[in-house]
Amino acid sequence: MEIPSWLLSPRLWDFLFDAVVSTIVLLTIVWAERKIAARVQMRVGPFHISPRLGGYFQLIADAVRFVMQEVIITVDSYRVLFVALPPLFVTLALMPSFMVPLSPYLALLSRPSLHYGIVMALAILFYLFIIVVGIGWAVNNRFAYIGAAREALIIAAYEIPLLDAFASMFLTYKTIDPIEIVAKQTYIVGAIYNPLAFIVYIIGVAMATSRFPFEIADYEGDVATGPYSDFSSIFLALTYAGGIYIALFSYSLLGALVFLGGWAPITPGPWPADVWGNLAAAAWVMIKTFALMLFFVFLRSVMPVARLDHTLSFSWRWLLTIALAATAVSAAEYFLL
Amino acid sequence: MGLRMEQYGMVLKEVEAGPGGRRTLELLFGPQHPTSGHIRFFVELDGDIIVDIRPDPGFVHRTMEKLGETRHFMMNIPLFERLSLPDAINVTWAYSMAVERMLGYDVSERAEYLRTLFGEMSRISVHLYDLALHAIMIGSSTGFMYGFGLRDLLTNLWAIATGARTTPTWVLPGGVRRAPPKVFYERLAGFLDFLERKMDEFYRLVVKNPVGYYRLKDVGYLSKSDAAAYLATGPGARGSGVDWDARRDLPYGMYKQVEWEVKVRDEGDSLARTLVRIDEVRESAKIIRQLLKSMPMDGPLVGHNATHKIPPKEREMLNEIVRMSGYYVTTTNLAEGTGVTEGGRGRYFFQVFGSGTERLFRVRISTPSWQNLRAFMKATVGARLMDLPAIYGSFGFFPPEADR
Repeated sequence: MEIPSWLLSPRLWDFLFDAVVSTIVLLTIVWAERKIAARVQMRVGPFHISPRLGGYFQLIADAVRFVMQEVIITVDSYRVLFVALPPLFVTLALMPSFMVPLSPYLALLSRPSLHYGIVMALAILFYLFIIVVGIGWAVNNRFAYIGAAREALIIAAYEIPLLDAFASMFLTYKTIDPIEIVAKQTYIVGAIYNPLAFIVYIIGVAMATSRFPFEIADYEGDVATGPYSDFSSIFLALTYAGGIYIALFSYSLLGALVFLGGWAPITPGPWPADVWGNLAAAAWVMIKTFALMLFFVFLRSVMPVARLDHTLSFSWRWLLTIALAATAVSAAEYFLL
Repeated sequence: MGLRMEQYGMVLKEVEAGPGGRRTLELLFGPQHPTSGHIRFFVELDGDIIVDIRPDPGFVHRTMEKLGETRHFMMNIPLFERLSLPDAINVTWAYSMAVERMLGYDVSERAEYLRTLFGEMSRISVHLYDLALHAIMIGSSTGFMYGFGLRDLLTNLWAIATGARTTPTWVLPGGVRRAPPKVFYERLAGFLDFLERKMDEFYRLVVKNPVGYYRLKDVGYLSKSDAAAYLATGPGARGSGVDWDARRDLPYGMYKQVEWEVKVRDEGDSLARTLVRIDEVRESAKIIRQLLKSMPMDGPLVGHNATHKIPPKEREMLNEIVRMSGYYVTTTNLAEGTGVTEGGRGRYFFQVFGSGTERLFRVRISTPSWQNLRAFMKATVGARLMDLPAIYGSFGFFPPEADR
């Protein structure tokens, strides 16, 4: 019996791989975040749900609880956006990971559009946190307002340096095509080509995805989970509890491709001939993504929350300067390499 | 000294407002807010700057003073330690001192040693509690877990000695209720070593951490004269350079017999107040170590005058335990007594008036959190909203204590 051709479609496999592995990565990363924090803090962490696996399925139990919770839509909120924005948030957060290839032949998009994959992914990700501001507006609560205003300030502070970091790398590689970008990092990865851009990327993503110490817009201490403060049940799971982690996954995937060499040492053959090679390459990308995410979630264990004004002044004064210096480095590399 | 609390906020607002005025946002902070600690603040914000803050305490409990007049004066001990559960010993110690002076009781030497030792443990407990809450208020959950994890060890020690983790009801007029068993002293030394090591880690992880440092540095400035004028006590005053400590200036207990010093810092910001607390934890450990060396391990737990009130059969076991039943018949004198102790958050003051019956005619309580509230408001105006939890935590504010 012959295998139908659609079963071997690289698009299908890319989609499956992305969907399944990203779910596993997300489950693991949230579990790891809680376990690492527990380790640092002299306690056990998730344990009672599946004790033999160290509480690995705690997140699923949490998700079930979130889904079964009553949906509360506050009277003062703008109902349409209140309901519409959380699904949009999680959709936009996950979309970028489908825009980029996982191996030279495993991609959802085909050549001419795949060429712009990383740029498209970034464009979508930068839309993402405008939705947070929209959420804050739709909730219509003072704490949510303040949180949304902070999110707006932070967006302005991280977007330019982060974009600059990626643009510097494009300058270094002389291309924006993700497959060519990875092809140029066979021996030396992007983080070594331009360490300044990598630093800006790390700090920018920490700010973009509300990782510590930049958990300012939804800082529980003074704005009580900020824009999401009136969300409950599935809406909370789609935004604050889940969506931001998915956004972190997308950012880390981009980082793995641009700064950590993607599938770099593995060079698989063409798709239907070398299925295992391509899947291994995709798995290698996911491992790098996971490592990046692990770093970002580890920050929670060791960092307090930075102040808003310090963050803004740091961002405009230093992060932007480093980003410009990174561009200068890349410009030099453009002519030298 | 006219304390009109609204004044400075309003003045700042007028200065900033200018012609036409400026829109401010009133934010109701608490009582259910994660870092409000069951007090409500009406915070008036101009952008991100706090221009006025009005507290609305009384959400935990009130009428502690009135309740103190409705029952036998012994029953006030478990009542008043609810004022500040982490600092239970120092509160009940101040009350017991007031009752002792009213009744003319003396305190046995062993009891004085034990009270001082437990008072210092109580101070460590309160500082750990406050440092932990302060850490979570500035977003460091690790600091929170460190503080509470360490305090858990301490409450276990309390449980060994008194039978209760948080409500020891251990200080009695004239002495203490139970003698700690031998294992308590053995474990206490080990706990102190562990505590000092972990406090260093806490310092590095939360305070010396660049993010944590700049959350606290130059935040919530309270000048020395303001701290004195608004009657701040405890670390709230000593962080601003006011060198006052009831343990040294109104000596009680065994503090004259041990070598220690009052930790004072002049900066007057949240960082200074936090560092004063960390220093005081180390200083308390020092005091406890000295006390452990010179402590008498045998002797009556209550003073001579109090023993008269205890039935002869029960007097035989006074080296180990004091049965509360011996006191039930006791009536108060028609006299007045005051007691002052230095708790972790500052000065506790109790004044009791006897009525001739077993109930007190009047109890007057002054607690540090209530006094620090004024200084806290002074320090907060002009800060950013994000600094509100940082300043609040740096004073170690404890609403149940203010609601009295």
